[in-house]
Amino acid sequence: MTLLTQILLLSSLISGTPMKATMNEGVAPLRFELANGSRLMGVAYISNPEVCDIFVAPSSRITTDKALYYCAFEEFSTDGTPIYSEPQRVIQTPWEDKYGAVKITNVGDQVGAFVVTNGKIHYAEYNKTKRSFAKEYDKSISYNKGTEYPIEAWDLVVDDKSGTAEVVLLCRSREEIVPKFEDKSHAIYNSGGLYMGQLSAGTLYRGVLDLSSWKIVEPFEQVGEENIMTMPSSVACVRSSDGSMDGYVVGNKVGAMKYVPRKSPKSVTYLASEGGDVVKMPHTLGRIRAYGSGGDMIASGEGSHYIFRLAGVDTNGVPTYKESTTISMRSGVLYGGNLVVPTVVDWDADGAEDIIAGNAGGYLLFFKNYGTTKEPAFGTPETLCHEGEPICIRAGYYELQGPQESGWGYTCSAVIDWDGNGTLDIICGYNEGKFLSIMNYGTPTEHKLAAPRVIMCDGMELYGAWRVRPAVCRIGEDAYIAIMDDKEALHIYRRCSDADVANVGLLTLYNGMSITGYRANGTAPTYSERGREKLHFADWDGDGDLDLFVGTTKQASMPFMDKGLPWSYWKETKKSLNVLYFENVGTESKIFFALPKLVQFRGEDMNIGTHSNAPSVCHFGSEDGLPNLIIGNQSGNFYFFDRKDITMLNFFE
Amino acid sequence: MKQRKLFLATLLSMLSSLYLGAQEPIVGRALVSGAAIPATLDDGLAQLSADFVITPKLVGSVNLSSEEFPDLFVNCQSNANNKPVRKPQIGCYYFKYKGMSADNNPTYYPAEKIEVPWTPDIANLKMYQVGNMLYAFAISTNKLQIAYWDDKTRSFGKEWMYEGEVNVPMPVMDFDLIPQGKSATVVMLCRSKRSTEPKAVVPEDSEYDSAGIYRGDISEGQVIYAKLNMVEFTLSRFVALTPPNAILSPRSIAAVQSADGRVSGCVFSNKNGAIKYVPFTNPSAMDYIYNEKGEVITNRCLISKTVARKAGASADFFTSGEGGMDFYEFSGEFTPSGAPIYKEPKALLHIQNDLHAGSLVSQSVADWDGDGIVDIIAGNSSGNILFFKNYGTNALPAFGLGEYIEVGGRILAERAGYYESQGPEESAWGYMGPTVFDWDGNGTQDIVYGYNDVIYKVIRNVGTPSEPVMSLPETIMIDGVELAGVWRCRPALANVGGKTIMIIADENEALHLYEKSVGNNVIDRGLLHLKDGKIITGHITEFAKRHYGMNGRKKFELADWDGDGDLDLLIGCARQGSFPSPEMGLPYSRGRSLQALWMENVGTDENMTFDYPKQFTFRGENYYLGGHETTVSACPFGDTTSGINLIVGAECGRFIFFEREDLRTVSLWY
Repeated sequence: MTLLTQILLLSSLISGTPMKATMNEGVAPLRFELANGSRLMGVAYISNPEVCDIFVAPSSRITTDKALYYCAFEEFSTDGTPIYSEPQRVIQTPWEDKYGAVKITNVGDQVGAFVVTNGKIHYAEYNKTKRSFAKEYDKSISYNKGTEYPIEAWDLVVDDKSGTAEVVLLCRSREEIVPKFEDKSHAIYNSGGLYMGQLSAGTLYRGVLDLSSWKIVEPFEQVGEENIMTMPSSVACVRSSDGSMDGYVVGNKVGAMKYVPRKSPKSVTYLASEGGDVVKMPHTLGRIRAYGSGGDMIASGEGSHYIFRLAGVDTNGVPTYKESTTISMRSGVLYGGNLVVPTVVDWDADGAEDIIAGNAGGYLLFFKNYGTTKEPAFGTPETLCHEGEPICIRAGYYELQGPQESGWGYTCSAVIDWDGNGTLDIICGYNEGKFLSIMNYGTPTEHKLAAPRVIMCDGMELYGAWRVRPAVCRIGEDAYIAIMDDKEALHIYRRCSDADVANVGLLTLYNGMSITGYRANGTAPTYSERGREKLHFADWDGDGDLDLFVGTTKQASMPFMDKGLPWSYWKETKKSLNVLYFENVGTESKIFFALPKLVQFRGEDMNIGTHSNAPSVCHFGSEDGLPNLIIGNQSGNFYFFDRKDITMLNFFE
Repeated sequence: MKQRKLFLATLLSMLSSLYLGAQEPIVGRALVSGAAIPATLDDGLAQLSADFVITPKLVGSVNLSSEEFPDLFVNCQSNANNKPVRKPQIGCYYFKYKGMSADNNPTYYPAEKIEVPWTPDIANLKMYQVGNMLYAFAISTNKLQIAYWDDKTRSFGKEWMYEGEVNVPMPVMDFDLIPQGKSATVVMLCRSKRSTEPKAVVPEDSEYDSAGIYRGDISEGQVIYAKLNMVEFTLSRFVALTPPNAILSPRSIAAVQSADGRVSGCVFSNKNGAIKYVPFTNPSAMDYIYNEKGEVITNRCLISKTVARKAGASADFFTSGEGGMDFYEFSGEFTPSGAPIYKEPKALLHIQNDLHAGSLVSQSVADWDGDGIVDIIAGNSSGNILFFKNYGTNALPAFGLGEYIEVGGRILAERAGYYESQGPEESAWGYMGPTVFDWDGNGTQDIVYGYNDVIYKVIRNVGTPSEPVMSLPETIMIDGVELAGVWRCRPALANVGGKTIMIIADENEALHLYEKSVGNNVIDRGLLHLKDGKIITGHITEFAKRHYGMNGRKKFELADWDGDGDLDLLIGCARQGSFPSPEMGLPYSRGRSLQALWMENVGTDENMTFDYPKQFTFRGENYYLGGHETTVSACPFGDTTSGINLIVGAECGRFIFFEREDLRTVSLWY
């Protein structure tokens, strides 16, 4: 099949739907539409004696789907990517919502699900033919887990030879404390910059269950030190085939992973790669399981599912792992990482519009268009790097929502030739309210990205509302950046050098009023719900001047506090694309905006997420050269909208 | 006897070097116990500074001794009361121009104290030559004062020649004056908007709200000009040259004028290093000043004063502030938008000087370049790190100008930025606290540091010892989160049993031990304890009633001070430090004293347990070097036959050397 045929057969553009992957038979990360991620519920040899199948469940506040799905292994692609079938729904389960307590695994010739709670262990056998469990458990016991601490995560490994199962519990030995104040403006960090809350921590416990008698034959006891990991989220029993590596991998919510050797549990070390770097989960909220029986692991969380292959074991029994590969499926949708923020631009100067995207993980991705602007063809993105290392932008410890969020970055990138030298650069916001310039010191076709630098104004870091994608543009000889400033008002600055700007002033409505974005009485316990606007300059109406698109959360209120959009609309309808259009009613150089309109699809509202939707104009599918629109949503997809299907609700008239 | 020992040691070292074919070391100077380490090279050339002050204020640029380049007058104020060890030297100093160094740095002779009618903390004062007379003008919001220079007495005298009232419509941050016969144009940088500090209901209240936005206000400045009648000394005809929000955090202004008139206006600066230019005839073209690479210039000297080389008659100017003094020479070129381009600033130097690294220096003593001789690596309040190569020997060290450490092709300036715990107007400070250590175990020295954030970073040498190439800063992590503790601390690092250990003051300001694991990740090894089992903290209870930014500032070092084979802990801190407990601790309980402590390890390196702290005194006397913070380092400099000696990095930017024989210890518990 020729490349052209592939592209023709797999059109990625259907107005009102997420863009599909079209390269390599549409291979893309295994995901569910409108889900933030999916939980790994089990790994078992079912369809293939050498490679495991997986059981997953979508996790999201958008979708109400809480079912269990089975994905069969199909093949490895030429680059080693494991390709699985589209998820097939498991007919029924005896458990309802206790997803954290379920592990599906091989038990001799059977496949079954163990459910471990704070007081009970259950078992249900899986019917491979019917693709279903029974409504009731086959076996259950009560047990003493050996501690008062609640279970945060657990794992279980069956030893067919002895007919027993080792059960490992990661218990929450220190509770998380999130500071709460009467005044929601109160920061959760003190005047010394230190977090006023407490991070949770976990301790390991272990026992052995006899699978014939269903009795605990080795009582549960603590393994290793107390509080072995902060923010614990997962534990996996891992063993190499030759037994040289035998222990537990403990993971946490921000992606850290530690290895605890079974025989010397006090010799804890972080999981390392072959090159001596630390191995982390690519995305946050991770859950780990052994993948197969040879020491490999599979991790899932906010994002997709990733396989870590055991690279080797040193003489002390300490494992090293290879770089992870992503579990994928065919006919998948393009995935840019959660809370994806796309900018459509011809990044590599080959005449076809590409996508540059930031995401919740803090990374920057380049989706090369292998087709044409009119008929794009996208596949696996490339992570943008500085000197070979992925650019990863995060606030770190001082994340507004607490250090437990420090695994996120919420990179909000915009692309522009910032210095006017003919190559495209990147300007981005992230989860700190500052803005960075990432300059391209290569060529239009061979990029070399410099390390990010903070943009300054008057010798201080330019600062505003957090998680804002700045709008950038060139007017005449000058480049400009518009942000939501420290009063969450739309504010524009002029570039003076790569990392310095001068204050130009507020951008206003036609009547001189400033344009703000927040509500005084949001529902979140702190002001961290504010910001998050995704600003984007574009000449939408083709009149030669720059209009403004703003993607927001449902909580935002533009241009007026409390009486603006989309909140005033959302609170009644509970549904909106949450993208606003501000028409420029001034000129190219003196910008004034009309009151915003709400973007709709064929006159109707759509709910594709509420965290923050990020618009970018594009010419994908354009017949007449006028721009269409894509919107990045919280589940990491790029929703395409043909302009003929876009209607604007004039809420204020 | 001691000098003879030092001489013989040096001779032996030189002969060894010649035998091995190494470059012959320069003969250094014997260090004086209780005195700052001197600069040795080039007749003791080092950054121009005046005694033990943090922020010398340049007040006059005048061609007194030479028409080639101006002499300088500098006001100095220090609260480092060193009696009876040495008398604090506050006042006004005159620096006579000597010439240009080989690298075109303006160099000066050592300072000469002069008599003046003003106190060193006077807000706005500048000097002008009018005909044959030299005047000092002080202009504030409601007062004008004038003094004149008497060549015979070489002073401005004890009294003002003139004092009168003026009425400037806004608070004056700074001014400059262009004499024009019987009148003068006075340009003023005024504060158009006050800064306000956020109110704290409880001391833990952050300066920032839960959206991460500063809860206070940042001051703004506006440039106005007026006419000064030089006969009646009246100030009138105030005109705004810029909008009210011309600059945040306004600080200083200087009138600049090139010979061809293409530069004719003012440069004005703020606390954070921004410098802008506004032309008189086209004020809407106000812009930053730029360097020859087209980059906006950021002044390294914080809270800097800007002084014209010759007000209204030169486009060049000086800056002085916390960290040093620089000269900016106009290049003659402009940006496409018409902003003036200046050459790279040149630090002002003077001879017969002490080694100087900026302000609030925090040093680490180690062989940086792998030549077998111990050097000094020093951080400062601007967030820089300087390398002072030792061209002599350990016994007789010879230092010259420090070389800035670069990362990614730029001078490292590590800072917390907007989210500085004392507010965004402090965002240009860094308070760098570096520790030299081979962090990645590849045989080259790296630098692990704390600064004015609560986290720790490392820059790794990915080059060679003799040609270091430093990586971009990488954060030290624990469990996927940045390792955090109280701010402005320097970590102690050591290799114990093949493992790298790290000691910091944690979020509760308790001594906490970590062990390096994979990459930049550490594992928690728990709190450190006294021999009686109590934990060790460094804060005082009284400061629970004040801003938490007064906490932290602890500089740790592991060194075998008593020579018993195990690592002890040396601690430098601020005056408010209180080890081992807030109820009773050092140095706070003893008031103004040398903030240098020693905690003896009475356990082993693998299981450290500490005795109650002892505080160093100099020959039995307190030696107060300023309350902000100090850094203590064991060093092999000088005569070490009795054991290693000590240097203390002080807030004035100098390194004070102490021979161990002159150090006594005091304790609250013995």
